[in-house]
Amino acid sequence: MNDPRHEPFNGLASLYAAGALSDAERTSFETHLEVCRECVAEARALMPVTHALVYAAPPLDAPPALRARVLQQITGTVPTSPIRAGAATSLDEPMRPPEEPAVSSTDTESTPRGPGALFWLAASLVIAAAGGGGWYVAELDRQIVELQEELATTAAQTELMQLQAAVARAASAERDAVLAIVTGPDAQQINLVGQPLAPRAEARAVWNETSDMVFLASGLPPLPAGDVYQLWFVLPDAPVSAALLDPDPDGSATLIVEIPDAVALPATMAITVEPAGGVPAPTGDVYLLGQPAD
Amino acid sequence: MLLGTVIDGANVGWGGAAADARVADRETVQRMAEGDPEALALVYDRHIRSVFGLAMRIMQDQGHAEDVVQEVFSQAWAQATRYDATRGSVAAWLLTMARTQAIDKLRSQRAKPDSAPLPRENAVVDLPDPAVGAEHHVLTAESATQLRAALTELPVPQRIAIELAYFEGLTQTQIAGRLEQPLGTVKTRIRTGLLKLREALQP
Repeated sequence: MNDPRHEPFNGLASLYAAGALSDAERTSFETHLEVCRECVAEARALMPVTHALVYAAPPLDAPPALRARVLQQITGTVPTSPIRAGAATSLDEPMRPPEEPAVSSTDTESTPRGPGALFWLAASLVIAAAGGGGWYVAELDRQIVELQEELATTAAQTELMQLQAAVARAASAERDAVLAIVTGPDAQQINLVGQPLAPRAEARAVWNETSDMVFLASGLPPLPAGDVYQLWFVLPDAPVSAALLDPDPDGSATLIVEIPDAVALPATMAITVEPAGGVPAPTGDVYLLGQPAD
Repeated sequence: MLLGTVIDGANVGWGGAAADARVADRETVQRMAEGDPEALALVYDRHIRSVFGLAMRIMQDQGHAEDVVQEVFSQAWAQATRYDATRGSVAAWLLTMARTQAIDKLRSQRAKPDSAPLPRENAVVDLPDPAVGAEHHVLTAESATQLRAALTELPVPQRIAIELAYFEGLTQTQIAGRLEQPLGTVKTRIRTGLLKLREALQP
């Protein structure tokens, strides 16, 4: 570079982007930015990288009680979120026991070629993590907060303890309900295999005679803004939309899919990429495809 | 991922009437700006795991991480009117606030009587120069997979230097002290590491 004014700041743009400058250094560098195109260019190139670092930390379950505390303190109220209310149809019978084990024609192959043990470990962790998040637990949380407000009476304290125990049981029951589908002896499954556009993707749909379908996917490549993954039951007449997938940043997604009456399983399943919002009939490339085991 | 969001995704898809999660997020923040407590709850439920994960990564302490969560959502509630979707996703907005809050907290914990007062805002978060800031949101959640992979691919000394800066809020001088390396080495490690990450993240 020719500008002697730049010399003392050489290499500082990366430290600036990484947040590694002291207060004084930062102020002085920002002043320099106003006159140095080179440093602006380097900071511009590196800032998106450091911005992306916020995604480097793995997501974690927060303590359930934190929700009520945070929301109460900020807004003075702890709503059951619409998301959770909308979940009621699938989760209001979390303890529905699996039916008697039946001999299954499309049971898990004993030596699956698809997702391996690590995939299942990951999937079960996702499910376990999801356990405490259901609407029912949220509703109980809300009641706890209300009760905490009337803690003056012994009766309320007793009821509070009972509720807290119920929360623990409900969280566990929700988790069990999902795991019951996934690990049940009569579980049937379809493995979906990544197509050339997503060679590392894999997915598995699991259901039994009485349950909704649990759908687990991993290795989904990131999509450009405006595109979305859509899951289909590919029936002889026409494909039927099953769900939209919103993968986690690591490319994994877990869904509970309601199986429509019109869909007779096992059926071929596919994931295509479609415009945001999804489409009534598939138009995009197939990223994953799975056919029932013979 | 919360089961709530899982179910939401399934319902949205099945009903055929659907909103892309980001559009939904933007609309929810709009409702927050109008003072709707349910919208805050919704944003909390959608993003708490990422925010808490980042807070724990930086604070390494559950109590402090919970404080960060409280502050992030308070700030989001107070500043919802100022959220600008063109600068990034709601997730990025929340995570950036979480990182700033957490680093501030860490630095003030670390501050000794003989050290200078620490800045309230961190340089990484808000670039005052619009010329520099224009492309802030280029990398988003979609890049997270490559990012994590790329981080693990970095030579360890480079990764450590970057992590000390970004997740522990250390300055170049403090990093040099911690690693017992000359300042120039620290500078080079961070710069080379960031350039490699950038390369790995190129489409």
